[in-house]
Amino acid sequence: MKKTLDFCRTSLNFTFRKKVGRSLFIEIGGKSETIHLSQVKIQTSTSSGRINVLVFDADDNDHKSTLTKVNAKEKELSLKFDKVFLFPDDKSQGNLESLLKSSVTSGNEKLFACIEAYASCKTALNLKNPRPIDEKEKLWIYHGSFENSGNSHATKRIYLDPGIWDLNSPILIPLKDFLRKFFG
Amino acid sequence: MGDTSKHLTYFKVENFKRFESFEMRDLGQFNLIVGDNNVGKTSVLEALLVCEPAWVFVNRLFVALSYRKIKKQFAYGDVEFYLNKTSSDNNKIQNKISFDSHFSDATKQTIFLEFENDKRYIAVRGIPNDSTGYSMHDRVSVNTFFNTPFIPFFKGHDQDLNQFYSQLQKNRSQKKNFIKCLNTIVPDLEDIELSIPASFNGYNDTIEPALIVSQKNIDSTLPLAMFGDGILKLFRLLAEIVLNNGTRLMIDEIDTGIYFNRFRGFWKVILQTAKDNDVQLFMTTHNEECIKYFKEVLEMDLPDLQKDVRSITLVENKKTKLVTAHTYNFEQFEHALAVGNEVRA
Repeated sequence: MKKTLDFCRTSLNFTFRKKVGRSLFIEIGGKSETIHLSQVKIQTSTSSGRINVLVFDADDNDHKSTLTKVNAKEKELSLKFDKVFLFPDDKSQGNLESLLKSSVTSGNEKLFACIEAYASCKTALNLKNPRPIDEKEKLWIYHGSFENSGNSHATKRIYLDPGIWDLNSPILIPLKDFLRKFFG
Repeated sequence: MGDTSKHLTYFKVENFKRFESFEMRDLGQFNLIVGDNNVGKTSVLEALLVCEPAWVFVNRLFVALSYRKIKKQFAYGDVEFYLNKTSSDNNKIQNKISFDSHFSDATKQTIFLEFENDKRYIAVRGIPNDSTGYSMHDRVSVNTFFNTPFIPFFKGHDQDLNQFYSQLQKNRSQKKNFIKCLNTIVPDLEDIELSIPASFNGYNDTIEPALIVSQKNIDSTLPLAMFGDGILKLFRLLAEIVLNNGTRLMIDEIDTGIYFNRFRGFWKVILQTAKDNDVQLFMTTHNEECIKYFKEVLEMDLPDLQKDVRSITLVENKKTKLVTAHTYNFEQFEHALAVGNEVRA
């Protein structure tokens, strides 16, 4: 979820011209099963009087069932999430990667054809212990294809380059509207 | 395995300093307390001085108060300083502080400290047959030399260490082990003896023995007091840990005076010595590197102690100003540091 955190910080910086310190974010991992590891940190945040905003991947579940799962975890661990936003747009299935894939800079989409071809070619080679190229991996191959993109590694990516990502994409409007309530 | 039956598992204090009510849950043997400035970390350490008998408790509070160096405002070192006076409701201001302790042997104890003119009444509840016993303490009968298990951040070398070392050096293996621990900070330190400094010319008969250090490959000796803050700090900490065998010790700003790349060795020695002596530690820090090495030494060198470790964050609510404590177990603490979540706030 480090990439989610970095992406949200970038969005805040881009949209609201606000640099929000790392200490105001809590990284909880990508699975609801690991939220307990951040239980104390979330409770501390609540006690300090802060509003806890949860940003999470909806993944393959529909919006309602993911919310139900989050609410159950909230109750189980005595947590308080004041507001929840589920990637990609707080209503569809998906995750940060599906949001990003819809936000690639116009004209760059054709690069994915090359990446698909590379993935197919690699599979055909029947290599011993090949690293699989899933949908997420394809996205980061795209990102790493550009100079000064940071590294293609999740923790070092730079999202602000308009030559790579279109942060004005309409797909990002629900996220921006959500964040505006707290940072706008 | 020694006696850890009187280690705290839960602690609550009411009407103490800034706390109308404050509690810490799930305490371990090694408790690292963190939090913003002025959130009350030092006050928590002072509250943890609670003990029986009454005169020892009041004596401890008096000594702790003297460390605060606020004698101008409290000319008599009056421990009434610790009474909460911040309540917005004047009718709520009481003349009584209460301390609730739960111990690892499942026993509980409540101690009240009441103020009435120049007398301090201490009531203890939870003693056999659940009766309440009272005793009285007059503030003028205080012994400032009595052992107080609280180390303020500035305290290093002092004459009380001579007394400690004179006892320790009677046992050769204990002394050898002690020197080995100090080598963590000063690798060339070879020996420490209690004697007259080598530079003493014999004309001053009021001079007292001092702790004298011998170093490898150096003929002359030096008084311990001439060494840097790190060695003095470690000497003090190890001495107090041994002195407080089987009980608890409170250490304010434990990182003060320790160079960053000595932290790993420092933590290893402190935690292992506390474990060997069954001492429950409550330590405060602001220092990020100190916290990082605390985790690292428990991962790399002392994994068996992880289950006894807690990190406790004190946080103040911006609106209500109430302070609460949040206890991380080692797994949660380790996770927070690994992913970059701030444990200090």
